This record gives sequence, C-alpha cells and structure tokens, in this order.
Amino acid sequence: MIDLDNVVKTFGSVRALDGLTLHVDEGGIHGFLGPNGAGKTTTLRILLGLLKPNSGTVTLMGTNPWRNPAELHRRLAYVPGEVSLWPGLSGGETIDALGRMRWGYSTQKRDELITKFDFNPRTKVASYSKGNRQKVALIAALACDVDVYLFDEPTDGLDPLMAEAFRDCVRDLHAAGRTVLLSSHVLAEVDAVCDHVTIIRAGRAVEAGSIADMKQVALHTVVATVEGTISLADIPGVHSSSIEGTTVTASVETSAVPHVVSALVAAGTTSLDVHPPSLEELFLGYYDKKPATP
Amino acid sequence: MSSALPQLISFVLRRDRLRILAWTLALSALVALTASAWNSLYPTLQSREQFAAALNSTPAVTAVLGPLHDPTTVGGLTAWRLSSILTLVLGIVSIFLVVRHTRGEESTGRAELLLSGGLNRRSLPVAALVPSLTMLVGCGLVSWVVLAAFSQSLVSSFAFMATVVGGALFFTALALLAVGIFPTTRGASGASTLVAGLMFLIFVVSSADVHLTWLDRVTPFGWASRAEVFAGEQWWWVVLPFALSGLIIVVAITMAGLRDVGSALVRPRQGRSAASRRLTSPLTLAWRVDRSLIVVWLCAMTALGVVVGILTTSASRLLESSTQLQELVLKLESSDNFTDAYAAALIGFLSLATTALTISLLLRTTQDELAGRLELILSADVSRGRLLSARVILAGVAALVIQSAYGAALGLSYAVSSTTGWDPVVRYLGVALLNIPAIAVMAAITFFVTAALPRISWLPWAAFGYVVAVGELGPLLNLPTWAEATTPFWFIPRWPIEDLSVEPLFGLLAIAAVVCLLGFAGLRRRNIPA
Repeated sequence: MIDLDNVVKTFGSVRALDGLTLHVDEGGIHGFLGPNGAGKTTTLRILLGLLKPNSGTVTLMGTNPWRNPAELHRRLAYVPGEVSLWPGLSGGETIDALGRMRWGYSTQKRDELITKFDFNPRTKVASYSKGNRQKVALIAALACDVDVYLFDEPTDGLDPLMAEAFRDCVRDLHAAGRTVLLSSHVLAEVDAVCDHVTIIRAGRAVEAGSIADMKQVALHTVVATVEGTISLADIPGVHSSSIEGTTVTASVETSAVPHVVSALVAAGTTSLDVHPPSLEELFLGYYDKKPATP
Repeated sequence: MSSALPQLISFVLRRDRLRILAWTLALSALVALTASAWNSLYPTLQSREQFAAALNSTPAVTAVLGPLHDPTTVGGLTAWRLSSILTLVLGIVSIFLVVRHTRGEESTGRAELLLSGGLNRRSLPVAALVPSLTMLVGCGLVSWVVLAAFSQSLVSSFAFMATVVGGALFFTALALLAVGIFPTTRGASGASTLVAGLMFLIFVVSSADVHLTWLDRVTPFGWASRAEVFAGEQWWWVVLPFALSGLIIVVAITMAGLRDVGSALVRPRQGRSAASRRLTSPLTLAWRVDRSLIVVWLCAMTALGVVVGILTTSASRLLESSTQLQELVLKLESSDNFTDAYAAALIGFLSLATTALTISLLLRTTQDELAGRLELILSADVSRGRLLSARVILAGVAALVIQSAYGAALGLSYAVSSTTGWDPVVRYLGVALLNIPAIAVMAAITFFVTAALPRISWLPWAAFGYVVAVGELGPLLNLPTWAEATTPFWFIPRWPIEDLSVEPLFGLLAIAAVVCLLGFAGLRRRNIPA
C-alpha cells in the first residue's frame, strides 16, 4: 500500500531523508517512530506529493504521489502535526469545509465523532486550544471513509481520555481493513494500536518489523533475590548479568528465559521478577545509539 | 513596573528593527523628494503664489490635501502636500505594529510566555508601544532635519513633523484601545484602520464644503491643518493630539491591567455548528475567510466614489469661473477637459487602493502556506493549481466588482450633483474598468510570487510602493518618460480625454497572463512548504 525505497530528500545542505525505506501492507496499522527532526513529517509530505524526493522510489496505492497527487487524495486522509486553521470560521464549519473537499465524507460520522471527542463545533477557531485544533483535523479526517490514513503525531495536545478515543477510532479503521501510517512520539500509543513499526533516525530506518518480532529478539530483564552464589553468565542467551549484594540483574533473550528462571529457582531465589521488553526500551536504545554505518 | 520590562522592550524592538528602519528611510525620502520637487517646479516666489491662489479657490483639491496656508515657501508647500498622506500612512503602519505586539501576542499564546517571566499585565501594551514610538520619533526626527534643510526653518519644520507624529500617535493610541475591545487581531486592526479612514473621509468632506469646515476639528488631519505650520504656528493644535493620545494610552493601559490576558470587551461570538451548503470548494472557502474584508472595502470604496463624484462637480463649477485655474490645470494634466482629467486622476488613485486589496487577498496563499493550512487542503482532493486559482478568481472578481461599484457610484453622484445628464455614469464606470489590466499585472506578479517563489513575499508590496511613488510623485518630480513607463498604470489610455486604444490594454493583459502561466509552471515543480 505504501512503499518507499531508498528515498533521499535534501533541503539545501540538510539531508532530511537519507535513504529511507518504509513498507506498509494493505490493512496494516504502521507505527512510525523517531526523535524530533528525524524526517517523519518530511516522509508524510512526500507521500502527499507535496515534496519531491531527490532520489529513490515512492509508491502509494500503486501510484507515484508526486505525479498524480489529486488522484491519490481521493483515497486518503491526512492529519498534520501542527494544525493551524482559518481565523473567523467555527470549528464545525472548518470540519465541513475540509471534509467536503475530501472523498467519502459523512456528516453522520462527523456528528458521532464530535460527540466522541467531546468537541464544541460552534466556537470560533481563534479561541481553540492546541488540542481542540487537533480535534478539528482529526474529525475532518476520520469522518471520511478512505483507504489510507496518514497521521502526524495526532494525539499531541489531546488529553489522555481523547487520546484513548483516537486509539479506539484507529482500532475501528483496522477492523474495517483500512491502512494507517501513524507517526508518533507516544510509544504506548504505537504499542497499543500498531502491528508493525518503523523506527527512523536521522533520515534512515534503523529498525522495521512487527512489534511482536521485535519484542521477540529484544531482551527480557530478570531481577531476582538470591541468598546463595550463582553465575548466570554461562547460560547461553544471557547478555549481561550483575550481582549487587543479594540482588541479581540480567538481560536475557526470550529463548533463554526458562533456563535462567530454573537456574535461579535451583539457587534458592526468594523473589523473582521478569520484565518483558517494552517498546520504550527498544526505542530509547535506538535514540541513544548512533545509526549503524552501512 | 517590573525590572523585566526593559528586557521585554529590547526584545520587542529587536524583532522590528528592520521594519522601523525601512519606514523611517522611505518616509524621510518622500519628504526630501517632495521638497526638492517644489523647488524645481516652482522656483520663484511669484510662481508659487500663482499656484496657491489658483489652488485655494478649488475646494476639490484642497479637500484631499486641506487648505494651503503658506504658498510662499518650499516648507509650506511640502507640509501642505504631505500632511494628510504622511499622517495616514504612518498611522496605519503604527496601528498594525501595535496590534501585532498586543492582540497578536495574546491570541497566539506568546503573551503568556512573555508575561510568565515576571511581568505584569500592563507591561504588554507599554512594550508594544515602543516600536511604534521609535518609528514615529525616528521618522519625525529624520524628516525634520531633511525638511529644515530644504525650508531653512527649524521651528516650522519641527511643528510640521510634530503634527504628523501627533496624528499618527493618536491612531496608535486608538489601536491600543481597540485591542482591549476586540478579541481578534483582525478586529482590532480592522476597526482602527476603519476609524482612520473614516476620519480622513470626514476631513475631505469638511474641507470641500464651506458649511462643514467646523467638522474637521474631530480629526487629526484637521488639527494638522489648523496648526497652520509655516504660517505662524498655532501651537495649541500641535500639542492637542499628544495630549489626547496620552489620555487614551493611559486608559488603554489601565484597561489592560484590569482585564484577563486574552480577553476583550467584545466577547467572541459563537459560530455556526455546521458549514453552509455552499462551503465545498477552495473558492467558497476563500470567500468565507475573506468576505468581510471584501465587503468592507466594497462599501468604503463605493462611499469614496460618491464623495469623489461630488468633489468633481464642485471642481468643474469652479473651473468655469477661473481662467487662472484653467491654465494651472492645463499645465498639470495636459488636457482640455478638466473634469474628466480630474475624475480620471482620482479614479487612478482609487485603483491603487483596489490593487492593494487584490495583493493582500492573493498573499493569503503564502500566509496559509506558512501556517500549514495549504498542506491541509492539498491533502484533500484539491490540486495545487485549483487551490491557487481559487484565490485568483476571488481576487479578480473582487477587483472587478469594486472597480465597477465605485466607478458607477462616482458617475452617478457626479451626474446627480452636476445635473448634466446620465452620460458620466457610463463614462466613469468605463474609466474605472480601464484600470483593470494594470491591476491585473500587479495581481499577476503577486500570484507568481505566491505560486512559485513564496520566499520573496515582500516583493508584491515593494512593487506596489514603487508604483504608488512613481505614479503619484512622477509628474511632480519631472521623471523621464521611460521611468514613468516602468509602472503598468502608465500604459492605461487616458480615455475619454484621449482616444481609446486597445493595444496597451491587451498588451498588459497578455503580460499578466504570461506571468500567471510562469507562476503555474513554478507551482508544479516546487516543494510545499517551500
């Protein structure tokens, strides 16, 4: 559905995208993670046909977005990260105006979403907070029945309740077989709704795959209190272990967890804690590390 | 006031230093150019007195510029020629500056950022006044020195610049007051500009009619005129705007201290919960966003058309009784039909106002692009070309309607007040419409910038300033023909005084079309946002 291959985009001397590869299957809910300035927004603008890549191939629903943007836009909806609206219009007017210029806009769906997001459509946009401006763009996009949804940090500025309402909507889109590309900072959100994820850093994808697979190869953290002496380092699949007083801490591959646990039990552990890998740990790992040199 | 205030002031000043410098230089240059032009045009005392005698008997001319008190010196002539226009331009620039730093900051939330740094609510209007005051004082001082050099009179030059600065300060103070009344930037600056425009209109009307002369006392333009600079200054009228401005500023700052940050006397109205049926396309959206601006301009320009029609009548009546004036007019207009020349000149002036509106309507595209609204619409089923064409269509129709409206209004009010039959309605409507191709060229340049090169969005206004300067001062400065021919308005045929030749009209339209096509070509290739 969405395919970027080795895409390079430069702004003057700045390489915003440096050979980015990103694939999203039809019906996939794809998380797009990365620190500020990593190139997430640039990627979305390229997919919208607003920016022309310097090299690489970009295909969206089988078409080149730079060549045929209007044709593609009948089948997609987009929520930008920084929503700025026309002064003087009310929120409801703005939603209608944007929705009607897209395809598949339903006023019934709009009314449902207005209730769901607890939104007052009569207020003039000048008085809206960031979260409320975000809601305008979200409702205008979600009220349209299209094939692909592009979200650029859509819950930025929403309160936790509203962010949850948004996740609900994404789950509905998934159930309906729609394709979603969700750029985000909020790891819990990506973890909650996405099946696949691409982590981008300095314009390159540093990791991509299904979240389940990533967690598979990621390390569990095992913390145990052991009275006797024990050495875990010999067990295959244990990456590091340390002992402080009676507390043993180890980073362990998924496959080695049972061996480590039985070794600990055999050594007479009094308390045992096994943390599965969180997306957060994966993510922070990539943020700290320099991108792998090709 | 708190100790953080000086920091806020220097911060605010830094953001505006280029703007302040540019306006100071431009307006001082205007003073210098005008003063030197009088020197070369009417070098002898006798020639100046002749000119003045002819002029002062023409309410139509004195209306726009006020009565000429001292025709004997270059200073007096310069002050008379520039008083209203300098006050109006400086006033409006200052209105936008002060609103930007108060309501603008409040509605974007930047005010909270500033005010959280140990400042009280009154600091914002105080700091916001600083760029305006700096600009006014800077313009005043530099122009004072320039004018004193030409006029050889330090005191009178000072009095003149004081009337200009005082008048502009008065509008600045009104803007500061409007900020506490209106909840939006547009509301505050729109209302202040409207008051400035209305006061100018009152001044025009009161100067044109002997029975209404008393009315000019309510406007800064009237105070400046009554100060009689270069003719034994009436200092009371020079001081008056400063005293009034001080009073208004104190009230405005007190209001700012009493109200919540971000609030206003006028509560923001609730809008409609759903859009009207027609709001379905980029064109209807552009109309929805800008309709109030367009309607206000349409009404203001139509009202001006009516006033100009009446002025034309009184001008033509006076001409019949003054051979001296006929000679002068022949010199200025090189035509034997004074009435038509007079009306055409004022229509040319009003066309510049239409051009200004057209430019600002088209530049909305660039504002939308900077704010990210352009990409929001472009993500919908709207192509780049269609989105930008919508602005062109709206601006084009607005220009056409406004030109027709005031042209017809001018003709109608002239026809009614002069009782010379209905011919003028069609004639002056035609003159107004003849200016369309020149407006189209200016619009095309603006469109090209918004479509292909939004980074140079200052260019349309710079070009507009150039056209105004050359068009209004060209004859006075004795510019060579090729220099005057650098503006599109120069090519508009002087119909009905001269024959109507269509070639220049088609030429201008062709240039506009080519520039537009270049804009579309650039638009297809570029990144958005650029």
